[in-house]
Amino acid sequence: MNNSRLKLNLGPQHPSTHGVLRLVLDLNGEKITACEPDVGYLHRGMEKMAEKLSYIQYLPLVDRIDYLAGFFYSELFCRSIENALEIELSNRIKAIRVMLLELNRIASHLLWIGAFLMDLGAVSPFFYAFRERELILQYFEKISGQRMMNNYFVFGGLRHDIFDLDDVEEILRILPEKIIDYENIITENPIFIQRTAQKGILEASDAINYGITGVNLRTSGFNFDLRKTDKLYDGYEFDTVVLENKDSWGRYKARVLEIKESIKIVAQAVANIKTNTIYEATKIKPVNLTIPEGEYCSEIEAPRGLASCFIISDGNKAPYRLKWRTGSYYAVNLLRKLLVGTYINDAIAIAGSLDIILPEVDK
Amino acid sequence: MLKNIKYTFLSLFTVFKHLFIKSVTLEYPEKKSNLPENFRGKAVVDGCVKCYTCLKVCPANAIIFKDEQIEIDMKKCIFCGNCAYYCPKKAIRMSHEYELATDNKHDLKLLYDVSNEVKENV
Amino acid sequence: MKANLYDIQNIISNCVLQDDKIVLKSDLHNTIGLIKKNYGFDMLKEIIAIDHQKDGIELMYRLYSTENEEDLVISYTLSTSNEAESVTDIFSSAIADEREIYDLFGVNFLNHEDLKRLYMSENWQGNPLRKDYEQNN
Repeated sequence: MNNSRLKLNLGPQHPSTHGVLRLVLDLNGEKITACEPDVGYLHRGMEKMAEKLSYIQYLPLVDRIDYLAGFFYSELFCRSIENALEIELSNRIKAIRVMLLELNRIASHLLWIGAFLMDLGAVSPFFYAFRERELILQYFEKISGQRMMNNYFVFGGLRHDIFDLDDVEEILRILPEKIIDYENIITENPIFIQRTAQKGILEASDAINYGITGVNLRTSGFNFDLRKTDKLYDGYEFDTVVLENKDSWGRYKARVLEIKESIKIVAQAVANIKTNTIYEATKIKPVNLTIPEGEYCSEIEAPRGLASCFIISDGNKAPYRLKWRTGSYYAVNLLRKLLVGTYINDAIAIAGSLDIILPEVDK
Repeated sequence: MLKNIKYTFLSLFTVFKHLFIKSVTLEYPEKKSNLPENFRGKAVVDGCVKCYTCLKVCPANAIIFKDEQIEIDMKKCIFCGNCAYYCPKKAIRMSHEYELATDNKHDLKLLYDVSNEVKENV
Repeated sequence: MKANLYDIQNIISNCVLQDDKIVLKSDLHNTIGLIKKNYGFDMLKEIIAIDHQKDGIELMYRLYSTENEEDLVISYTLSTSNEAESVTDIFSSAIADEREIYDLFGVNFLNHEDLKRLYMSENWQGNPLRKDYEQNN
């Protein structure tokens, strides 16, 4: 920390939805010379709690690790248990899971677009994004009972079958027109381009060294998407969005293109659900469930990067050790390097473009 | 220069057309939204046989059995629906009540008899 | 080049193979540097710490090679002194992982640039994720 004149606190509260992140900046005039992130304001002890609760008691709490992408973590936990007990899912259940996961990805990216633009000062896109996200959340409430912490996946299947797909087809009809609206007012906006182009440049080799995955890595020109090797997504046709821009504008453009790809996957999943009509309820009795001794690991491509769940079991009702790996944890660490040498009014734009959400960081 | 003029007109048109679109605001509390059938609100008990399954699956340990009564502590409940889903007699169900704010904290401990009657907040 | 686990066992003299993971007995820092340079494992996905009570604390490093698309797990059990060499000069993603393990398990990493608590406050006593931690507040 040499050559600094002022220590500034980009405090735990700020008017955007990153969460409670505190950055301690060393400033020389208006340039940042060092940055240190301080996390831990939302630490809830998820990993220690898992050693004391049984598997079925822990399942509703898993949604809360990243509340914007709750279905992904629910799927990870269920997948580890299903691998341990060697259960195969039927085609209808797999298609329903894919449809819900991709709808959740669209909702998460829409909220990011709104929050990122609000960071830069434009308040209107926030309301437009929430208007579209509301359609998706109302559909989630119809099938599972709650808008966000759904608790809909169980070990070996779902809680109950879904009965109508009319709402999903309406969402698929409305969304593409609205995305054209966003692109009209945001993508070519001269002020937006001045604030985000060529800022926060991230090279692919640096990103891999820091453990960054997901959209942040794909915008640096590196093709790495776990959905292509995931058994759940077998048979779905979609393109991986890889851009060469490396800056914040590129990360915005990549997420808009990912929403369009996810719309394609949801349409294919709806067609799969209509062809596979046999529904099999789960055969696992979850009360007093135990899994065989051993180590089980499962991974998935969450909206913010690679996420994984590692369970070590010793044959009891609760796991011996459970560890979560999330994407935003390593993005916060990357801010130590990415913000050095930039001006302070670019700091929030760069930090916002990495899509950091704090509950994932402080598990 | 021409590109900027074209962009200005396009974005102004996109924003101003919202003057003529119907607004999506729901004026709560004059109008309430239509709740779906499996909405998870306050828990209600009727016909419990004391098998203790709900106690074993609750993540927040909000259910206690005292004498001949079952007590659900709504300060701890996270409205996950595990108790209703795993009850073998379907005695617990999640009702559609969600306006639960009160100024007396003893209202939040719900007591139900294990027979077929309902009695609240002793 | 693609990593053959038996090849690695022959080249590095201080390890054994145990159901698909490499168990090291000593010399953690140099071995990981060697594996990164020769076999192309360029991403450290995570570091997991497990408290085995009487048998000591075990650290598991999950490496991934983006070129050959394969995973490798390296395991290292600490002695009772609870000290280990830091790998932050090989993989920068270990800066945050090692701080978390120092905070929650009490493992001291040598040559780490900035070792201090991550989640708990600075004056917290004890290491919460150990099995013998007692909560007394």
